[in-house]
Amino acid sequence: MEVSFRNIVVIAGVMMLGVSNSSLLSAQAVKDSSRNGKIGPQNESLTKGSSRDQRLVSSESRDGESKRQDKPGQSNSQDKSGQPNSQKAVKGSPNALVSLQVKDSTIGYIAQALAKQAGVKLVYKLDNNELKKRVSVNVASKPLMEALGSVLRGTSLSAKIATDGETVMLRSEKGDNRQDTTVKGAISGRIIDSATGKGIPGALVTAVGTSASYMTDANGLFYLTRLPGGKYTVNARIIGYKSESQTVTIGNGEDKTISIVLVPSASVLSEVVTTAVGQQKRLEVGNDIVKVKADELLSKTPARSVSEMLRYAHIPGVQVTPTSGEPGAPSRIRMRGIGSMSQSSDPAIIVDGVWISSDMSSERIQNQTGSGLATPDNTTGGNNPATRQRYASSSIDAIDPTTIESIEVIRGPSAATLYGQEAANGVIVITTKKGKPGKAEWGYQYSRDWNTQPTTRHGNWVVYGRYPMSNQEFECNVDRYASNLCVQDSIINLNSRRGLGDGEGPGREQKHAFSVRGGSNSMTYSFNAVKEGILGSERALPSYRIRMQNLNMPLGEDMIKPSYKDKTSLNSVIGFNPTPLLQFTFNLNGTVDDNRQNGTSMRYDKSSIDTQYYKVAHMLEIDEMEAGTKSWNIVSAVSGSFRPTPMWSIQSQLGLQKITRNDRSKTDKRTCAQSQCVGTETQLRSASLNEDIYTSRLSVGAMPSTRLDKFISFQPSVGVDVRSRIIDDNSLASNATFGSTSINSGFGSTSGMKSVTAGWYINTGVKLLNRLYFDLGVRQDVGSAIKVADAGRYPKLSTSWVVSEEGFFPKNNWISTVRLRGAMGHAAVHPEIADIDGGYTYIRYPFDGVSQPTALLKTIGNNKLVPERSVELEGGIDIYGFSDRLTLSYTLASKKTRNSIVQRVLPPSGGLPATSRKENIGRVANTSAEFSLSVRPIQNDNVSIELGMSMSNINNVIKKLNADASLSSNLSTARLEEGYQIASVWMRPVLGYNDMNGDGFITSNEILRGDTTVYMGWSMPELTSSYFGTVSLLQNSISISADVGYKGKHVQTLTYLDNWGLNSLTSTLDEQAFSLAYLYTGVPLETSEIRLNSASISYTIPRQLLGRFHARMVRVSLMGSNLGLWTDYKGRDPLVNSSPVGNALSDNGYVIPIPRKYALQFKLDF
Amino acid sequence: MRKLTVLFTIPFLLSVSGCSLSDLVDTNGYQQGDNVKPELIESHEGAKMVYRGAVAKAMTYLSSQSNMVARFTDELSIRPTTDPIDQDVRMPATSVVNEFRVFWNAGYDEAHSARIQASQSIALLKKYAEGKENNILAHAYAIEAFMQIGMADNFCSGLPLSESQYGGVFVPGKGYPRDTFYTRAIQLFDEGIKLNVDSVPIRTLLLVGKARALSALGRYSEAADVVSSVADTDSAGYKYEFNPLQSVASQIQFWTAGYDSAAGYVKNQKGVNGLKWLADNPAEQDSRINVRTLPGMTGYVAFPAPLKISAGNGFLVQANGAEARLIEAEAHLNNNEPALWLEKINRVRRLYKNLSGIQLADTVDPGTPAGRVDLLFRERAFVMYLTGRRLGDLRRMIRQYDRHPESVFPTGRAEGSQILNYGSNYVFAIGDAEMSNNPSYSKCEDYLP
Repeated sequence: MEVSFRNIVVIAGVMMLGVSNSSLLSAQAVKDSSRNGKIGPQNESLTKGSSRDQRLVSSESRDGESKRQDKPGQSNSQDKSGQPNSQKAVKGSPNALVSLQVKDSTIGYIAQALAKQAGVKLVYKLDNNELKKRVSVNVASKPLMEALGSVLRGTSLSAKIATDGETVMLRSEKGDNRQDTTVKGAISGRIIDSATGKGIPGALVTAVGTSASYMTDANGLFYLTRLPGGKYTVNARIIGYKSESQTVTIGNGEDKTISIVLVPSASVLSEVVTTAVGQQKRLEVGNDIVKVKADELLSKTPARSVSEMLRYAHIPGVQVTPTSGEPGAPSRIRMRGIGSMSQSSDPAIIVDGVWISSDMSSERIQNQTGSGLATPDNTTGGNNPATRQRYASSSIDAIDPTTIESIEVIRGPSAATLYGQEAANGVIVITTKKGKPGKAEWGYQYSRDWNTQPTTRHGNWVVYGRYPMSNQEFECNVDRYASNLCVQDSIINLNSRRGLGDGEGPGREQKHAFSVRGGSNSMTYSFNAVKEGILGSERALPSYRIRMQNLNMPLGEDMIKPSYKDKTSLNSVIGFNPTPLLQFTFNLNGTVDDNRQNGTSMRYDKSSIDTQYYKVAHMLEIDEMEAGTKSWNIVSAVSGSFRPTPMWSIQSQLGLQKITRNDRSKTDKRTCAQSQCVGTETQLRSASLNEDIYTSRLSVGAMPSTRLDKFISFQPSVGVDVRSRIIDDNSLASNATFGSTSINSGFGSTSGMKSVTAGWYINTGVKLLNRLYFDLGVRQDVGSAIKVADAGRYPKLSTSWVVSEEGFFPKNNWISTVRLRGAMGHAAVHPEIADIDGGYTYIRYPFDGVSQPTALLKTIGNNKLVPERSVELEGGIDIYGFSDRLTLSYTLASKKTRNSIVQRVLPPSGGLPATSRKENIGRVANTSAEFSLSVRPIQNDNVSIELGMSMSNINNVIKKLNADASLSSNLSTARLEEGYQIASVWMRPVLGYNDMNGDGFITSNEILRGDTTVYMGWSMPELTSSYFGTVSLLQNSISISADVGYKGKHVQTLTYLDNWGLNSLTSTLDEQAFSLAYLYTGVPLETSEIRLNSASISYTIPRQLLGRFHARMVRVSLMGSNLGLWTDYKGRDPLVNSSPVGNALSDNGYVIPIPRKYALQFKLDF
Repeated sequence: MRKLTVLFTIPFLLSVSGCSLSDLVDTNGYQQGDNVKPELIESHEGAKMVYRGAVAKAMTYLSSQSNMVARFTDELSIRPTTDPIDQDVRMPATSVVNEFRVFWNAGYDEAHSARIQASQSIALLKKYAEGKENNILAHAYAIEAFMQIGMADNFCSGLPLSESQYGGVFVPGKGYPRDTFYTRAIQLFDEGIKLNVDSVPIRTLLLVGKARALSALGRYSEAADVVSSVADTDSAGYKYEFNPLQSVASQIQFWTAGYDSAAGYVKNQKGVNGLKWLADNPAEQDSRINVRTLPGMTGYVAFPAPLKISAGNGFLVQANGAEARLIEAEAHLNNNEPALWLEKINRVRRLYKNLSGIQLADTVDPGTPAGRVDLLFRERAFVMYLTGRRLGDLRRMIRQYDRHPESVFPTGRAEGSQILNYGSNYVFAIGDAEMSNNPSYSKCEDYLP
């Protein structure tokens, strides 16, 4: 082995200490000598520290390319006569004339100086002590070889011209022949990039079957020595290029020069990923960053939102749980489990460098608002859920998938250290499509989906009787009947079981997407326009239709099919490159998203259905004729890059996301009950919310790299980012008629929020020998809640080692690349300002008939609260083999969080309406094992098969909980208990039932439950896996794909199954007990599932036929999603969540599961 | 080396300037959510805002307690449901912790909430409006004092009093005997009385409140002395007027609970020995109950519903001259002055004419000490019907007049049920939230009246 890892480390250490190595300084000496014509004694010390260096070095200046560029695939080692070019006494040839006068200097320096003058490459071994011999020389206008001969006289060294005619080698005949009498030869040359024609530094060149190897220098030069005469296979390889070999035959003592041209390959490791400090090659980053290529994914799956894309992407460790199958419903995204016991576990989202609102797991009524603000009104002063019970899509889903180039998911430690405290749960980096120089490229995509519900609703059943002492109707279920609380002698029997079965129907979706991209060298553009409409599967109940018909108010189509969504999205990206040093990019993305769920009584929550029938009996129905949420989501950004010198660059990004959300409901007075509707024929309730998120980010760095040596380079950067978020909530009163004014004009402002976070970071990438990478950084975040004194600093360190590039790594044909990586990073999650400061709630309250400003104590806060702090370790291995036809990745991660913020319940004797406050009282440990595998067993023009799988095992355990009081979350079934996972499910177990009074009915107090709550399981699956495959036929013109997912056992709490037993007096005791157990407390069900997530077949018109259509690509696809579900779950679908707040799952039986979808897609690019 | 120096100097300079980031993140007093800016609270106007909050919370408590007490005692009966609304029926006597008690926690929470807010408003008014807002400062004292009385009247002995200080200090409180609450209330009333307020209703509130606490301690004569200056007229009394458009206690809870389905109705002699609210002869009906009859559906019985709270925007009287006279009557009774006692009783009955125009006939002396106690508390019950006072009075009858619990609380088979009896709980339960989360407190000292 010519270069040892130990030496690399030694060199790195020397460099970090700022001590010069011989190579660096010798180059400087040569430079000086060429300038002055002599080398002074002051340079004599320059060889110190290099005596143990085993490397071969070149005398060519490291600052520039060689003066003659080899053409790809062309060897220029000899002229036409077959004679070495050295025969010509011109500069750049070994026979160029040189002059030098120097006294008492080393042979090495003199030789370098002479070679420099001649303009030739000089190659020699640094460890040859004879190079250190001191001699004097005085030559004038002599050919180089002659001059060198005189210098080397009396030594065992000799100068020899290599076969390329422009390289001179200093060789020790004595040393080389120490072991045997064979005269050794050498193979030298250059490794060249086929695309650029330039030398490739850092490539590993080996003579196969021998120990000779060499890593190319900055100019791509290599030199293999001590080769006995014979036939050799010289192999060159480097990450990002296809490996190439060349056969060379040399005679004894013969030196030959060759060139090997490498063709770039699409290696995953050479792929560029986006990090906070800019774009880096994946192999330089110690974290496992998953990159989802949007077009590739969308060609196989009918994903219609970013959330769905993440779900179909099967990223190990990432779990995406839809909150409903209704159009536009947000999803909960968790990376490596649940990160915090009380703070948000949502990952951060960055679109083209701009932070956007990432609140995805808030209550639906808060979604896309990012705030838990009460809706103020001047009638009740508190929350008015009527104005916020609709949900909006997540901000992440405002971005249309067709406009996206790639999505990168960063789960590991680098996320928070570089992106800030909001990224402690991971980062989703979305990059939209950019234009590129060239003529305009147009694209159109049309898709049509048909949705159905693959599962059947559980029936509902309501029986009405009356009170014993009156004729007033009363829901008379079994429990009430058995308790003599009602009688059924005058039954109003409303069996809704059949009616609810008609509450769903087929949905559909239609989408048009246009795009155009192009530009010139100075300006590029990309425009996208998307129009999408989705009809949900909800339907008005038949009984409801009849009732409204009888009221002479027949339902319109938007009431019969009340759930739908319209979305219009425009996206533009314009790039300006006025000079090579300066670049600007302007992004503007606007989306109008209109979600409707008309009709209160058709909303699938249990109470509403009860209410509906109760009100049917009363003929006092409140029907919202129109109800929904409309949101305008605009993301605009300008980013610039200025590179005043090749080494320095300044990058800045300034972004603004503006969300305007308007919730409204309209009620026709004719359907109102008594005083529920005030004043006017039509009442409009409205709540609007404006959220502005300002993001600015300034990054200053030396990019791409500062090469201090051909083997070592630094990539330092520093940055500051500031994120400001302002929310203004201007809601109209709940019972106000349309046009009422807001109460915000009074004393102070009733709602609104501003928070700012600001952070700086320093990051330094260190690259050694193109195979060992370090990344060191530190970050500090301060915020409106956390000042500098409490902010702390958060370091990170990651390393990536392409171990297969090492000489000791066994070379074989089936494993091409092995990379080991590791990362460590600290992160913090800040509390909110109100968590620390506490405060009074502002209301207006009537005193003496006059509304007056009033303050209600809300919380006293906790001024000792500090950020949660976590440290995460990640290690992994990536293996690529069989010419990149096998890709395997395995990652282990461990995250430990201390000072975990927990909502601790305060006793009511403290008089605080906020019954809990946050305290730092816990420690949490998260672990994650992630595995992915991709193989292409068959790959040729006619048939290509790609199979893959991903698997993850995640867990998070509360290691410590210093609670001498209960915790707010423990008041529900999802609890925080030391030694158990966050959001573990606890409940008093149902042991059975006993008809104690023998009346033939089971009442709630006859359900036998355990005395104490017990652990039922975790609401997240520990083990998830996905299996996917693609078969491509006939030069990829036909592609067939499918993927299957598995979720291991997890607990889904089902609170409603079928209340037949609850209501029917003819039900069996088993049925009654069954219904009661579900109704009152819910039943935690340990469940697992296998799901056929998607399948598709697509046909792409072969390239040779495209010309007829003047098109670049034409593709037609048939796709399906959610095509099969195999589960032991008793509810409809375990993948629903009626309570998206928090981290646990729950299913109230009324949330619509994700639909089965069939899609036809047509894509045309021209 | 120079390059390295340059490369690392700039980041270093940026890092040491990190303190300036604090300027970037300063929200400059921007309001956070629906919080009031701190600088607004710490002012004269802010102190008044907090005072108004105390009033609002006191009204929330009164709204809730009037409803709960009525149901727990014999004032009202509730349409039987599976709701744990009629605690007296559903809560087993032996159960210390059960799932129904959460229903009663609201009154407990609201009392503490109003107590703490009143306390904070007192501190702010004294600091930022000293000598300028005596009426509302005195009212704040009265609110805090009445919350102490309410807790002592309705809950067990040994309730905890925790302290919450704005800024993050929370001190979990230990339990105090019931009499301590009355004593603290007297001290608070005295603080208010010392202010010599010019508002007659607030002065009445302070005097009647103090007398009420003294009576609860058995110091009847002192109580009578305190209220001797309180006029008979209703205008001298203090009443909290509810308005459906107000923010916190939007409506009187009883009204919101059952207005559209007659959920609550006057229950004559609830259980075996409940008070006979309704006369056998409607013409002899005591008009202070103001019963109306709500028809059920055709062919079914009617409900005698209280007219007193017939809408959410009614009012609840907290203190007035009638109660002052009854406090004096009780003093006469305990001083063995039956003639003076009867004179005060009939004065109150005659007073009702002035208030409503309805003339109640004078009553006669029953002739026995026990009969006089019964009559006194019957008069109190009718005068203070649906004001949240009945539970305290029933407990006083047991504690101070040696009545057996089963002679004053409803007993026997619960109405509408063939299997359930009225329970034997005499106090509202304290929720698990207190016992589980207050490390200084474990349980009530005494559940007895």
